[in-house]
Amino acid sequence: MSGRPSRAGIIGAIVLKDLREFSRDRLWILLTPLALVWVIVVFWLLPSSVDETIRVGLHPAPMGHLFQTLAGGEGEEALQVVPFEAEDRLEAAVAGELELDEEVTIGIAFPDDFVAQVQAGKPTKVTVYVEAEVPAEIRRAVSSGIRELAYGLQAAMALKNPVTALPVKLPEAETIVVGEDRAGAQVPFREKLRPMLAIIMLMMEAIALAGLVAVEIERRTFTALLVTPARTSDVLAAKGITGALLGLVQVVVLLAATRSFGSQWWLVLLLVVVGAAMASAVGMIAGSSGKDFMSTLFGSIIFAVPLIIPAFSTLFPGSVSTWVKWMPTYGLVTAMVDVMSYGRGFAAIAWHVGTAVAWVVVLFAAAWLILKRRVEAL
Amino acid sequence: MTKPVIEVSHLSYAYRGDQLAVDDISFEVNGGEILGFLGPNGAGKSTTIKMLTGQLTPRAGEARILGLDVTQDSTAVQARIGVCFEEKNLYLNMTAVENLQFYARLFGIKRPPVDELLGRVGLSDRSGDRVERFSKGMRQRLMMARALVNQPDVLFLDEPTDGLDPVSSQAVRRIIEAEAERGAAVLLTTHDMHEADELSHRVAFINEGKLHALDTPDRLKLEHGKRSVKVRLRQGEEVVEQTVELDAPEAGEKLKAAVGSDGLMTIHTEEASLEAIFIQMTGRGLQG
Repeated sequence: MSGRPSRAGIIGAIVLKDLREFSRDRLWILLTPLALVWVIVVFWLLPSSVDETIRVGLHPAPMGHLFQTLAGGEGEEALQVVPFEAEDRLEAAVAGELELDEEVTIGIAFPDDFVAQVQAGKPTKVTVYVEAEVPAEIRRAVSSGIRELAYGLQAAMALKNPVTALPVKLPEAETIVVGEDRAGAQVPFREKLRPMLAIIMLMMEAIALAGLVAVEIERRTFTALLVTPARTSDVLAAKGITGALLGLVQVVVLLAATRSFGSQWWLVLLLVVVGAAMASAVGMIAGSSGKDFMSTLFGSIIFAVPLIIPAFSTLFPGSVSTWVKWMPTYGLVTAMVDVMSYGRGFAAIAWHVGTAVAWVVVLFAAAWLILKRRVEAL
Repeated sequence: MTKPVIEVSHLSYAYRGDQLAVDDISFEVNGGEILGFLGPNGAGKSTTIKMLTGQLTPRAGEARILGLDVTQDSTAVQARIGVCFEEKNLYLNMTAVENLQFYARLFGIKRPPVDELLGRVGLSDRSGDRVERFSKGMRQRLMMARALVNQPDVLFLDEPTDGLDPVSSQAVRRIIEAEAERGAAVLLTTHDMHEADELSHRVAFINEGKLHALDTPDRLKLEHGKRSVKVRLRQGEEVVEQTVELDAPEAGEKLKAAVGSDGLMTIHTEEASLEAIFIQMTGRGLQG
């Protein structure tokens, strides 16, 4: 009566069964498209460009021209001077109490006799207004700029009167941007958000898969599979394929809807496949570890949420903690950012892809061990 | 002489430490034979079945099914067995047909006789319904149909009629008998001594992992029951009860007299039930 069941035939049968079961789970069928639509809508609502201009309010108004000349010259897009006739209006503007077209984050109020006092070498006082969120480094930079302005005025006087010339020869300065200069072409916030959205969708799918595995163990249908020619490794492979397929489809839809594929679509697709496989392994570990459905759901959140952390590091540039670099998703996220945001090629991401694939292998091995032990204990 | 289908030799298993759940048991089951495995909860019945179906690796001993080692050739063994679990482990959000088709695919069967199987268990009219809408009895019958999907040479049935109504129980028993008539070897575990008595060609008593007895129900009853009959006679207004020892020299005379008496009310044999024999041998009841 029995034919000769091939491994592929057994795995295929379990995958089809899992997809059928998943399609009949009302909760996930409702949540999955809802989450997808919500994420896509949020993406398109976010600003598509980066405002790199810092607006500095100046009082009295004539100081504006002088400040701009010394700070970098006319037409410098990064710095925009907004003149104010009255100091109290300047303070109110920085405090956000005035209705202005553009936000003023820093205000500098010079005394009316500032130039005369500096040139006479007499003490004077300048007031700097800053928003509470302005970092201390920027506040110090503004103070330095004001001192530089005073030195500049002194130097201008010295040129008119060489007897009092300063005994300093100012060095020439050259700025070298290491790597790609992205001044004026910063990556918008929503572009940086793409890897995080993809990872969130994958981890959601990991949680769904964990539920599927947990139910199979809890209802002992797993045991019924293992007295047929199906082996634990077949069930593991089938669940891996099911989870990866579900994750892959959703993330591909998400990335297509957010126009994230670009010219290097095959690289993006490769990363999504690796990510989907990783999410699938995580889902299986979580699903095999829980005692029942609820503990599995809680456990899968504990497993999945930390894996989103590396994606946050792309939103807040700076040095990433060493432990974040050891997270399984770090290489994947870094590679996604490199390809999607900076258009880098395979050579630039090969190392990250390699580490992500290695993590997938490790996670699947762990899932197999945990699942086997769990099933034997049933 | 035909080789036994199931051969178990000095099989042992321990879940943890040295506490043996199954302790050096040996038995054989022939094709077409139903062996009733009787024992209370935790006696080692399910552990034995788990080893024979490839779910657990024995700690010691050997088990062969159809000549194949259950540890070395587990996949080949599993292709030729059918298992009906005590738990109703079906896919609830799939229909009866989908459940059977799925399991058939795992055995490499492309066109399983789903309609015929559902007909045998009386579920033809519910074939398209999801299992979540089935009663306990219907689920149990579907479990039975699932165990038969690959037309197995060996059937392992763990409490197949547990919790069923009398009609469903009877239907399942008839299927078990039909499978044995077809030639399948059946290992049946049950708490129900009447079921074991009715169905089994032989019964095995298992307790605390050890096999205490293995024989036909009749021989066990003869060996362990009393060879006597109880006679009740009406004598005037009184009812008199007499026990006639069958091995006694005057047994024939006494029985003749009782049968010929006008006041004979009843004659009962003093044959022991399987449960009584089990208690006598193990000091423990089957429901424990």
